[in-house]
Amino acid sequence: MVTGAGKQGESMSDRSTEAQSDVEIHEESIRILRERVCAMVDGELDPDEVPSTISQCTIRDWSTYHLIGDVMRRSDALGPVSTTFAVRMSAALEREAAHSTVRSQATVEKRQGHGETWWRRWLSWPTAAMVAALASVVWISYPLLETEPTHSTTASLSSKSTGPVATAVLVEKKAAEPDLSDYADAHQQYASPIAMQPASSGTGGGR
Amino acid sequence: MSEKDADLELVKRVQQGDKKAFDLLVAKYQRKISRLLSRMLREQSEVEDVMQETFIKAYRALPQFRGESAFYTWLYRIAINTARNWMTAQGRRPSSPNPNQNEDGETFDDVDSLTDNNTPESVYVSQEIAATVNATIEQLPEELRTAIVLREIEGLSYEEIAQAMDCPIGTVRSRIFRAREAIAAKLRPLIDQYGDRRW
Repeated sequence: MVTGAGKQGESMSDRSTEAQSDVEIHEESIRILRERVCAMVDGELDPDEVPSTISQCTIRDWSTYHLIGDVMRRSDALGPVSTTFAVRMSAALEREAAHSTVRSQATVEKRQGHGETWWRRWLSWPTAAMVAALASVVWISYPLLETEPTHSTTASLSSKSTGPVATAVLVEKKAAEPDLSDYADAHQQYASPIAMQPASSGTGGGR
Repeated sequence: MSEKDADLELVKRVQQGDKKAFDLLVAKYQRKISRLLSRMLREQSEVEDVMQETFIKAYRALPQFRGESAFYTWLYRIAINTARNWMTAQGRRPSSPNPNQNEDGETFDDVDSLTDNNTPESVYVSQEIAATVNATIEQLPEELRTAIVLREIEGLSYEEIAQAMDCPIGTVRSRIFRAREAIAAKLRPLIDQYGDRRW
């Protein structure tokens, strides 16, 4: 038979066991956290665990582990700091804005800038290439289509274009000197593509 | 992961808006910066003002920090410049730049030649802390002592220590933690005892 006092005693014992268990759980959680802090001091903590460890750890544990390392390496490299400094520093830091908003804004602006450049590049290169190709085709095909260029046609071509002066001069000479017509025909066919090169280069150079 | 990478991890957290990560960087480097500044400034009372200004300047400039140099060399540069500006504002002649200083600012011979404002008390406390650390290390079991020495003195990574001691990395992590905790347990009462003073 269990008396009232016995029940009370059991209840107190249960509570005491629970409290002891809570203390053990608490101590174990502190030990686990400190082990993580210890690994973070060495830069050996899993990156996934870093954010939660930063938020949960105490500055005191972190400082003490660093102090041990500093003392072991070279104790005279350390200077005195008062405990009030940490409080002052924390208060001063509290007044500063967090960087995330500034950074995200800067990132957005950078991305926008990057996007503009990207579109400009995307549009400008094919456009320049198409213009250059079109100009080349016109320059190459135009003299070939003209089977017997007249002086006026050639003059018109040379005046309209900024093409090679040498070609225009040669064609004019052909008209003026019939004896050289065969030479001029042959030379024109071979000379034209070569004469195109500066024009294409000029177009390309303007990009 | 090197010291530089470990700092960079915290710097990234600060850049993402985590102020607590900057608190950890302050806690890590405050004594080294204090030592540096105490050799540049005449009055010990000025050191913490300049140190606070240094850390705030560093915090504000952190979005521009790209990790090309180590965080602490970058921080040291800010500290030296802040101290020089402070001295100029006080009408004192700042120390001349050191021709031997590399671009990371890792050599501070000019600073070492300046005054040392450690008080007898702070020197005593530092010595007592050092003695406590060394005595505790001597009492550690051999495997814990070896692990902590390889890490702190030799600068080996956990993986390298695991190879040297022929044990798993998890064991290395546990041994280093147990060694640190044993030393920290002896240090905490001292830190509490001298907590309200500058040491």
